[in-house]
Amino acid sequence: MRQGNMPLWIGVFFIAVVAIPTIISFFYTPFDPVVMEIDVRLQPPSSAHWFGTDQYGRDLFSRIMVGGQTSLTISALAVGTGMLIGGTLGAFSGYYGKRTDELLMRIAEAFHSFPSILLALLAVTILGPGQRTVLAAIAIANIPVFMKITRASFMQQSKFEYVLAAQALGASDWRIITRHILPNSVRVILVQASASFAGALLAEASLSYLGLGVQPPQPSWGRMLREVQSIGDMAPWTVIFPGIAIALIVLGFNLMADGMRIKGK
Amino acid sequence: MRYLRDRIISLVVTLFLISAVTFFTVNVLPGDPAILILGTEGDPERLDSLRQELGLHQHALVRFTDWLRGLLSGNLGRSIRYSVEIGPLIRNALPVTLLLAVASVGLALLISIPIGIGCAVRQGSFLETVSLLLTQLGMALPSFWLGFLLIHLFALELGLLPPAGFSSGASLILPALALAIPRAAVLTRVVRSSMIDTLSQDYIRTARSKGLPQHLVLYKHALKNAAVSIASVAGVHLTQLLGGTIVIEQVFGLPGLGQLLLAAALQRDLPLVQGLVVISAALILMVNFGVDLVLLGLDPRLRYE
Repeated sequence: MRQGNMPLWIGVFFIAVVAIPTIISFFYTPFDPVVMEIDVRLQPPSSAHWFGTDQYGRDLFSRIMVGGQTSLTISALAVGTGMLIGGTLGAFSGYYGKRTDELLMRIAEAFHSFPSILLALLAVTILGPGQRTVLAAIAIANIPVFMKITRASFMQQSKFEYVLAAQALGASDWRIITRHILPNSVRVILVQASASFAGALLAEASLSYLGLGVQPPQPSWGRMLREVQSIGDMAPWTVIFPGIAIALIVLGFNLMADGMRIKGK
Repeated sequence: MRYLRDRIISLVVTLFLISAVTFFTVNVLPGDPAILILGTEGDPERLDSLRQELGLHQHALVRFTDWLRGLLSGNLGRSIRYSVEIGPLIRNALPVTLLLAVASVGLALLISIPIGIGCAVRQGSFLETVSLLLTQLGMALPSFWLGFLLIHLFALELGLLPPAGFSSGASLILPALALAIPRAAVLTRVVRSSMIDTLSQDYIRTARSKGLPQHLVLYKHALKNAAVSIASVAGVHLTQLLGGTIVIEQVFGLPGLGQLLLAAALQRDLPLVQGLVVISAALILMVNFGVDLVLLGLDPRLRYE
């Protein structure tokens, strides 16, 4: 069904709309995102300042471009770490089964039932607020998620005959896990990665909004919303554009996950 | 009954583990908690008196058992920053968070059940397409941003509801709505898919062929069966909210557990952080347990597994 790919491509499009300006911001932004210019403060959107300016006269479009760097990098690193550690543990747990499996899954369950925001605040208590803390908290929260999904897939796959055949041919466990089962499990793991990425972006935005993430002057979407909360009524554009940036890319990753799921069936 | 006994044992064990992990993360991992609280530049005399107050001259295990014993007798110790007992602090904040969490999940169910059923009944219709698009949008909007928009619209433009603070039940409507919308989006999808599954079963065809009116088929026969998966997802949301109202409490200035924990974490009020995390975890585990009991009530088949 051709229609089945619609969510995937719309998702990719939304991600591109936000991610491309973010990538460009590493080399170029229309204005300096951190220098304050009081005489152009709180300007509504215009041809010079596409998204207007904030209460310190900083160009919002440039700040949203640069803010994406923080949000996307932290989410990518956090989901990547969670996927690597959780995926590895899950693969072994699912392939070998038995006692290791039971113990690991018990721990994963306990972690999973513990809300990740509490975990983040425990991290803030001992590490203090900052990018590293947010990264660690989101990564740890993602470990059990990837562990469960990889384990389920490996358990299912290891019952198939091709695995038995590989074992009969004398392939090592390592070879079977990495060369035979992993390629068949990649899709479910990637679907989860896309969904987790959306979750990580929202978590990063929330934590930055609480002032626990990136510290000023470095902009991030959540932090920007924290700074304009009190002036939102005078200058609605300062609230609307960062929110749309977050919503658009989260929507993109959720749609991409949905699209990959449909394609997998 | 064996199931119940096993569940209670595992609840107690998990709670003990969480207490231990929390205590050691906050109290042992940082090395010297007194320095963590006052900073390396702290006045040596104040550091010493704080060490005395926290009982840091004792072994970590002794401190842990003392703390546990206090916990069991309802004594959570004293907050360092507020210099008051922790118990009453938590007791004052708890109802706000609890009410907010329950109201949010209730609202989410109220929104999602009719829409989800509508989608399941009219598969492929325009209504379904629009609803599914809206659920995607609902899941993507950050709840605190929704909170800003709701304050702007209902409190400042229309003047219908209080914008912030906690004075009466009306203060909880907007925050509950901000938390409910993303959850209603997820739940609508759950209701839709479990109703689609249920409606294709034989007993529904029987109910229809004996001439039962549509609303009875849907709301009495089908919803009862779909309720199991709906309730389990709603339960997950409820437990997430018990720890996860922090952001919305901040947006609306509500004096709940989240605000207390945020301040405690930023000010490194270690005893208060410990107390709040353990109490929240206990609450979450108990709600989890309660949800499982409800599921047992809803689906007799589960009782024989």
